[in-house]
Amino acid sequence: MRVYKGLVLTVLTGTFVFLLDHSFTSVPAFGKFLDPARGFWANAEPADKSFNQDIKVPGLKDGAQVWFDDRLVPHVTTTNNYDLYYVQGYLHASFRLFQMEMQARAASGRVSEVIGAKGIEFDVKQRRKGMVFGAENSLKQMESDPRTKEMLDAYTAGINAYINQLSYTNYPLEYKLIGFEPEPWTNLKSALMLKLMADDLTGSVDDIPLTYLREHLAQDVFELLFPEKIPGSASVIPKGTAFQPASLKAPPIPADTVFPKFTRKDFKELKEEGVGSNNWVVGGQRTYSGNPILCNDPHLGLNLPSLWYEVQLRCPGLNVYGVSLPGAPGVIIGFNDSVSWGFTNNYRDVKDYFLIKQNPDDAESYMLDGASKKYTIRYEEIKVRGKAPVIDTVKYTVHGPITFDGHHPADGGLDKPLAMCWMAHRPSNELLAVYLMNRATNYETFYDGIQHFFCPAQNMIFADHSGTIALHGQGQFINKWQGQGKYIMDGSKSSALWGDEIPTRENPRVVNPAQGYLASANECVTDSTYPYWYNGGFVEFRAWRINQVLSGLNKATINDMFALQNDNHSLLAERALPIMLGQVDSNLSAEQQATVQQFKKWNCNLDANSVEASMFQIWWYDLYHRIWNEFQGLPGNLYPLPERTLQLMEQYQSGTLKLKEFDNFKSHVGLSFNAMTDSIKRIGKENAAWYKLKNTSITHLTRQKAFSITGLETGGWGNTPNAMKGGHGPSWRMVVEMGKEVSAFGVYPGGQSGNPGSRYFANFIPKWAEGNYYKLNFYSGAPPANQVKYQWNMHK
Amino acid sequence: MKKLLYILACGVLPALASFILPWYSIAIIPFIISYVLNMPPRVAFWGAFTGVAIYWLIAALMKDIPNNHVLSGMVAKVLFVQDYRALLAVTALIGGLVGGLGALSGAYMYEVKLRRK
Repeated sequence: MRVYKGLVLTVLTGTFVFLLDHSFTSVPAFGKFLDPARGFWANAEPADKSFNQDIKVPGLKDGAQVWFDDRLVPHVTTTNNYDLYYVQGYLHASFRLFQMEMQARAASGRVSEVIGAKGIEFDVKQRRKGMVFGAENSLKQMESDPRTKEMLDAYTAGINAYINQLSYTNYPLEYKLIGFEPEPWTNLKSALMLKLMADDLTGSVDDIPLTYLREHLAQDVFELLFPEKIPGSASVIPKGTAFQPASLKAPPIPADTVFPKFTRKDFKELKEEGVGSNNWVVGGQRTYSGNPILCNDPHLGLNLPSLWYEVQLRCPGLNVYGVSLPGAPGVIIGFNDSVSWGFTNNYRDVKDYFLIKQNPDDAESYMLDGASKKYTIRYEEIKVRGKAPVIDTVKYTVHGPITFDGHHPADGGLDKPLAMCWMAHRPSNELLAVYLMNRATNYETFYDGIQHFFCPAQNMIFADHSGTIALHGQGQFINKWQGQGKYIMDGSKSSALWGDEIPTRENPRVVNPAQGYLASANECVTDSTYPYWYNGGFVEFRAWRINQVLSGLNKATINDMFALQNDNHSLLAERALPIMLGQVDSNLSAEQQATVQQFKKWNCNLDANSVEASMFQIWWYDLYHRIWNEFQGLPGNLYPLPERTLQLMEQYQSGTLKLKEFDNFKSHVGLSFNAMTDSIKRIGKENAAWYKLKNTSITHLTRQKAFSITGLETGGWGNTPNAMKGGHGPSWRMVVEMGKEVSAFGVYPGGQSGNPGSRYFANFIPKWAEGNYYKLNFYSGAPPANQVKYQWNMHK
Repeated sequence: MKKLLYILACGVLPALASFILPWYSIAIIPFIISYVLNMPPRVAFWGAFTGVAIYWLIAALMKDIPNNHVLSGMVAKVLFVQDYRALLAVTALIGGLVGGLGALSGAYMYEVKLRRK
């Protein structure tokens, strides 16, 4: 009897151990994971861990010194470019490996390999956008320039040198939790990272929803509600700036119909929205010190680990400080000893959709000008963890890949075959722009450098130590005929095809304007004197507010800049509230009268602890929906911009608005006022502080609550300069004064280490949430010994 | 005395082996010890359980205390365990169980050897 017991028990124990050694989708390998020697416990970094290291790595040409300051920001010094980017790769991998790998996987639609079947839908979407196709095209370009080729090769070698010396014990925690191994890095993955940014930043132009609306609304109403340029736009390039004359003639609007007809029934459901950023620069004539001050706060999804990694890179011919993107070499936003620069998203439409006419006789072909044309087929094999791979056939047309069809409907549930024509598919070398910007010594070299930045188009702000300030609407754009690409176009007509590329030197820009300051916050790029036609998804409130504040500053200081980046003043509230209060009925309950009085005393700031802010936001939200609900069948997320809504309310107030749907405006105001007071009563005034309602949160990439931070006590909203929303916000706040010595401040919501078990994981967040800054340590040589916390000595 | 030495061996040997052998040496080593020493099943199981559990607990604490329980607190949440203390207990329990079962298998396998002779 005992004999069998022995064998059975051994087998059972073996099975038990086997199960504990293997991870399954969503369950880690418990034995391996809990093993105190090598499992997750090994990631519990001692709170006083020393990061000092002597690192021997293969492939380094000469060697490197890395000094870390007390925030774990590395200051790298090498004797040549190769070693510099090698070390940057090694640093990114050491502190952010999981994030880099997952983002490269996300870009290329390879998430299911790691997380299993729940990633398939996402992966298919990414493949159909042609992300890898675009990255391959750009990579060719990047590898054909010796500067960026060396940059990429070195960076990749540095990452892989780190990966190659890893064992399970020192895998980042997330690998152990999900149960997979780090994959070697490639140059393609760096190209993919830039496409991921392009995807994030050029995704929100609403060709498809606008197509729907054009069908749905009378033309005059449509133009009233959705003007191409909002009247009174602050415009990135100030009004009156002279533009370089257009070298290309505007193409004529095609005589044939290039916009296919859809009906309401073609659209089944709809979704929403975007990201934004601020940057501005105040020229020396308007600052206290006489030096220009440049500011930037790109608003992006708030995640842990943070999107950014702070770094100083120094080698002969280069000394640059700023934030880098783990997964790509160089400094994206920052400054060197001569120039400083920052980005906001430009939002000019560089992604258009074409309705494809399938050849009825040949499944492999589509129609163009009456002739049959073969698709270029790309088979996308999506490996799925624990399951058989999924094969998706993506058909490429002359416009681009068919992104949506019956199996994968577009936004709005539109299930017709739509091909996407996207600037990010074209060969480009944004990395060369980064390379040259990092090394720029004055305006001219900076301007030359940004000519290589094609997509995602950015409003690039600039200041240098000689006092030049400038702003550029930079990117590669198409010379479009008026209206081209605003709606879904007929892909079977060559007259709808994209035409010539506009020479990038004709992009709108302004240098040293008379007004003495420049600002951009995702508003319309130019006034109507700019010679090329374009459309885009622009917003105005932040731009209006920033221009309002900057125009009033004559002796601006760094502190004024901090205050403006953290400004919670709602122009919407300032302008809408008087109208709303004016329409509220006079026979109110005592409680409601008190609310009205409270509003009258309010400064219209969406401060963290303001209850009035919550009341206004709820009231506005409810009213806004009631107003647009009047338009039968206008889907909730296709409502006109709040900016436009406000303008129409103002027209209503002054009696100039001719729109019958506004007839019930007064009653909507009353009803929404009641709805708001009821909500506040329900929530309870003690819980109605604005920050509690909006719940600004920073979510870990794994979506694990345990590694995320919620309920940050912050004010602001998407339409205030401090654009702090629920899951979006200032991903990097930077203020740089370009004096004889550069004086710079910055903060981002995260920490330098990606390890949740590190004290450097989220240590910047309190400072960021309070609206405070770190002084950035920018060294021209070796840092003073008392500012060096740790040191890496790297050699071959 | 033999029991105490057995417990000690089941804790210390896997700890030493952890530098070169995979984590499941906490099953293999007690298996071999209890097989070689021909431990009675009950003593084999509880002895190895205690030895390995204590080893895992101490080793985990050595990581956890310098980290001020920061990571263990987070991982506890991920695994739906109350707090870092509970996670330490779970760690010790899993380690002990694997060690104990390994030893128990070894003890019964001794019988297999006797029968074959």
